[in-house]
Amino acid sequence: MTDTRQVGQIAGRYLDLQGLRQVAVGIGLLFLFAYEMVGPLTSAEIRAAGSGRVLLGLGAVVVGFAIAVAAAARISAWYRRNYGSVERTVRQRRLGMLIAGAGVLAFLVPFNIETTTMNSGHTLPVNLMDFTLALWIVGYWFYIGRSFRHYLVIAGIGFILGIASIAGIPPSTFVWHLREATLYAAFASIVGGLIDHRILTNALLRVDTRVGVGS
Amino acid sequence: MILTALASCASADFVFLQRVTRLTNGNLSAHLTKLSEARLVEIEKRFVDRKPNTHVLITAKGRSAVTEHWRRLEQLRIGARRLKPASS
Repeated sequence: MTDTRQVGQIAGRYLDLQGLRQVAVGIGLLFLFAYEMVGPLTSAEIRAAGSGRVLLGLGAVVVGFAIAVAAAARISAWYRRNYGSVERTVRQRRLGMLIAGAGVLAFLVPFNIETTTMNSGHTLPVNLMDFTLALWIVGYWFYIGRSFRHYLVIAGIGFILGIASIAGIPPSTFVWHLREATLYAAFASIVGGLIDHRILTNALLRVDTRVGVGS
Repeated sequence: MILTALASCASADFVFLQRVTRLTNGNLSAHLTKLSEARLVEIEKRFVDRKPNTHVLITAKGRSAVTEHWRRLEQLRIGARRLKPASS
């Protein structure tokens, strides 16, 4: 790390760049995707499957997410031990919460539109979740820093998936839209997290590899 | 570099500053002592998970010093751009 401006960027976004925590969340999303592939999703499927099977499936997803959250906490401690800790300013904390909230909305709003449309007996001809998630990733790229261009590539993949959904790839049903969006969110989380981790660890020398350098 | 890192957050601990600046323990300590004597940073000793932890935060004076530093660098950059190479 020689670029002083980059030092400021790393210090300002240190918590966001702890990418392995994002990888843990991505693995949790893969658990959800696995449930979406085998478990009942529509009201008709849920009625046919019975409450026992639904509860079992949802229980597995909750356990998967609990493991992911516990792993994220352990990973935070690992970063703190090896790379130190940084406290964010109140403004940075608020902005971080705003971005996280927007991320939840980017998933929930189109999800609600999809379910409302499905309940009225129709199907959306486009996977809105792909577009809103991709748009949110563009917003995240503005937030985390323009030099982290991999987020633009990940957002671009989301837009391509959204356009493909207009052409009927995958089939235009609520179930397939949800599966695709969950898998895309997991992919974005894991790939983005791994690249962030690599950027962070390249910028910060670990204690066991540190070489004494004069000032 | 230490002040730039600290100006981008509320505070950072010794380990982080060491990783980001790639200085040795002694070197970083010496730098921090000088910055503290100049009242550009404040050093806090805390206990985190029952282990001693040195936390460093930038003061208002330090923050304005960093801003001034970057302003002057920017002026230099603009000035250098205006300079035309002398024709031979």
